[in-house]
Amino acid sequence: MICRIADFNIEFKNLSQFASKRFLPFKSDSSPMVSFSVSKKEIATHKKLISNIHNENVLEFTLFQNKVSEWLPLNNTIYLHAALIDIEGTGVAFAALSGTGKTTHILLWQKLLGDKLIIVNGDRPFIRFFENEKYPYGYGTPWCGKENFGTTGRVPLKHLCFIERGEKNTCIPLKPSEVLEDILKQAYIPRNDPQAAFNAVTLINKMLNTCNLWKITCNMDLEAAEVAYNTIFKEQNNEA
Amino acid sequence: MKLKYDFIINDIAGQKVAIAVSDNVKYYSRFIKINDTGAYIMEKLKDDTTVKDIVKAIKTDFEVSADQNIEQMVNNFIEKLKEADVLEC
Repeated sequence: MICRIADFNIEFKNLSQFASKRFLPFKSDSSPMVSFSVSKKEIATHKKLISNIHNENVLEFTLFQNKVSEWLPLNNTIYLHAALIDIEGTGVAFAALSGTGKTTHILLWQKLLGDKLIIVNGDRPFIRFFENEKYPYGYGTPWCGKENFGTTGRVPLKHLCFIERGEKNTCIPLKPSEVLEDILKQAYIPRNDPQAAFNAVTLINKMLNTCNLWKITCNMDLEAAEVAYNTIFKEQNNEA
Repeated sequence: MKLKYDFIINDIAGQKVAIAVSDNVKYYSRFIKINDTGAYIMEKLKDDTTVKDIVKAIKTDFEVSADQNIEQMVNNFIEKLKEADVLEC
């Protein structure tokens, strides 16, 4: 199946029904610029390494993501472990370790903002950089978490937030140097191709120096979204 | 001794970082914060070498003042690499 993801035409070969279903919204008739396939042998090897995924169809789907992620930085793009939302044309990404509550937090934002908010991707958006564009674009991808939240759309990524749980709700600006450890855990750096790995680091650095960075400490009350939204968008309106 | 993995070195958020490019590397071995001297030493460690040879190379390639203990500096960095488990001796 040929898919258009992050404005790239990518072919995925020999898909299982499971992967086909998830790729379907991205299906395209254009000719592919690159093709990926996953062999039974690769699935078997991966199965031994990954202890928490046993289903071979899910493993195949994950391996396709790994292969695309290795290739992306050669094309000015990285994959970020984050939830990405679009608020009337402004992209806000929430990065956090699995289990921290990214999904819970963006659902609070959705409750607060209603139709003003679109969940572009709930788990693994691609971030693509273009010449002459101030901000990179965050794109929806087929890999959007167990809740399957996402679209095929894109939004300029203006804010990158790092979430942690806490009792009180706060939102404070951060400098790039303050997120170094966190971003290395949340952005994918290729493991097979040194040039792709080097490019990924360059792009991550660019993202940290372009996007506004925030640390959100939050509980699970609606106030968590109110505090973060008001702080981030007050800043943005002042800039405008 | 030499490095177990291929590394790339790049700057991120004002910090030089060495990153292992390998499928088999554990997370704690993957990212190492370094400075310019560390980058130089890692370059030397791509091939099998010794502390003695690295010290000699630094003394040849850089202007080193008499009171600088280069051997100590190299040993400290090697220790950091050993802790990250990225050296094979």
